[in-house]
Amino acid sequence: MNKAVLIGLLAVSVAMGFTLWAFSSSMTPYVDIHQAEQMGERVQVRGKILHNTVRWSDRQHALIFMLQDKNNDQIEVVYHGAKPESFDTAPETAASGIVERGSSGTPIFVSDSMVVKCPSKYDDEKGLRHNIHAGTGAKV
Amino acid sequence: MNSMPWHKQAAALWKKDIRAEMRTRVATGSMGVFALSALLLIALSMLSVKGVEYRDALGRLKPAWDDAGKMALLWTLLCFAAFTGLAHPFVHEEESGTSLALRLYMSAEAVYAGKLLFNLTTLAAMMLVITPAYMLLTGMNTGRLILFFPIMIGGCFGLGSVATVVAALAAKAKSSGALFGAIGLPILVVFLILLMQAAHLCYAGNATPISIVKDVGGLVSFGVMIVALSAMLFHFIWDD
Repeated sequence: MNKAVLIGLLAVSVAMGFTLWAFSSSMTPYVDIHQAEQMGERVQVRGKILHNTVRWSDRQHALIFMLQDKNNDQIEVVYHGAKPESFDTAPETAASGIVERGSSGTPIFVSDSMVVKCPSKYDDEKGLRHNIHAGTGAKV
Repeated sequence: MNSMPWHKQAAALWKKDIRAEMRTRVATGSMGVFALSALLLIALSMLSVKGVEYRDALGRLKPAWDDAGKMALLWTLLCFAAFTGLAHPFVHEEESGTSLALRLYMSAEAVYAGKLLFNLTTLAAMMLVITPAYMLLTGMNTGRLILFFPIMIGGCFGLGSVATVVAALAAKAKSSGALFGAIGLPILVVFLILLMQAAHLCYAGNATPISIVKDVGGLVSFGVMIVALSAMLFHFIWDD
């Protein structure tokens, strides 16, 4: 093989590896609350919204609520951004953000992006899902 | 085919392009007009957010438009300005019919190296004028100087290398302007993500040495990867 091609391939492989390594840090991994507190970097946390804790803070311009993950750990989420339309009925959410420490040292999950899960939207009163393909409206 | 080594051919092409640019000023003119009007627009819109602060989730006062945000806007400006003018060296060769002469007298590698060198020179000159003017207008700080310069140089190298290979592809088409943007955007998105990630390090107080090596190295290696791939594959674009 030509020497120049060999050097080129080597340079491409090394540079591609380095680029992919750097690019991986722009991804936001899904973790539980305990891991989010340990990592101290931008992560996504999925969990139940505790609706009785939801409030709006005028001072912080943020939606504040408690989130409970599958291990039953809880964290206060301070969300900056538009409230998702189905937030009030959504049982779960996945919020992106970073854990910071409040003035009393309590962990706070500061989030600027949130996706809510709302499967009930597609259920009828009896909890059955509609299959709406081909306009048949058949229930499955 | 010319018997000169490829690097001398590339240097000769670079000199020819610089002379042609000094005569016509098409690339620098279009990039300059865009950059100056964008700077003026930013300066005027800056008045409404200058000195405005907000309280973050923890009640801390923060500027509404911080240095990282200013850096992002600077690179947006530089990217658009680059894409306005950097297609010109290839498009001009195709439009004036001189690409045939270049194919006869120079190797594909020499043409690629010459055009890349010209685009990098033009981009570096534009950045040297635009960046200080932007910093004066917006009050952007450099943050950590030891990171600011490698990031600006790495960004210039990456942007120039992407623009050069995309320009070579787009110059073959009739509506090269539209194609230049369409092909360039997907490559540019990856470059911009890496660039913004690295640029944030200038202002991040808690950046670890490993994250610095990772992000700045990632930015530079992206440019190296594009240049190496382009150099290896350029003759497929050029000779067809």
